Amino acid sequence: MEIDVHRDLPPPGGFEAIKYKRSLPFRGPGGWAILGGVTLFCGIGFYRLGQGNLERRELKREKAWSRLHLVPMLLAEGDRDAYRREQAALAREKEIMKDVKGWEPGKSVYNNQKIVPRDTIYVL
Amino acid sequence: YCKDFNDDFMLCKSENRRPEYCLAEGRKVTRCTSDIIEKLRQNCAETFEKHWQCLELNNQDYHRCRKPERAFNSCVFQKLGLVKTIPGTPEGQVPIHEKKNPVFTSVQK
Repeated sequence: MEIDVHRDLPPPGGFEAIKYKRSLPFRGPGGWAILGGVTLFCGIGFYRLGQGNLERRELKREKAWSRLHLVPMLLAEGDRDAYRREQAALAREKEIMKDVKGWEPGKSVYNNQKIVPRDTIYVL
Repeated sequence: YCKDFNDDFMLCKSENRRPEYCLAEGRKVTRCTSDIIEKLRQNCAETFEKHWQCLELNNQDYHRCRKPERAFNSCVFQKLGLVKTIPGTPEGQVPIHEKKNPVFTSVQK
């Protein structure tokens, strides 16, 4: 038979050799390189963290000083308010108890003379 | 600006805690503060407003409002000659409100 038909033959030159031996090459950065990279990143992170902490300290300082500067004004205003309300409460008490004998208005129920501000101030 | 009045008031308070004792110094303190607020409003109203609005929106955090604060401080320095100092900063360190590139800034610029 002289007809040239297509046959399923191996390619000219044969197939390449089949890889059957294991091959796990050591590639990529070595162990020390990886550790060094991690240390670098962590170091940068900790450095920024320390800087941030110092800065937070300064921010707290700024906040504390601003509060210190504001305290006298608030205290003065609160004092005036409390004093006025106390006097008004005392006057009311005098008014109510003026017919009762032996009652000193505003007398505390404790025996020592410690100065204790009232716990509640009625906002009327 | 009002340091003397504040110091007087606090010293008086340290003697006696009752409100009646320190009413006079308290009045001086409030007069001084209202005085300076008046001056600020007259001279630096817009920068004052901007800084105040920024603080209102930001939980009164200074570190988020450095830009309006800088404008306000420069305005106050020009018009009134007052400088913001934080008394406790260690020597040789840039005060936190003047630091370039701080670590803490607002999340959205």
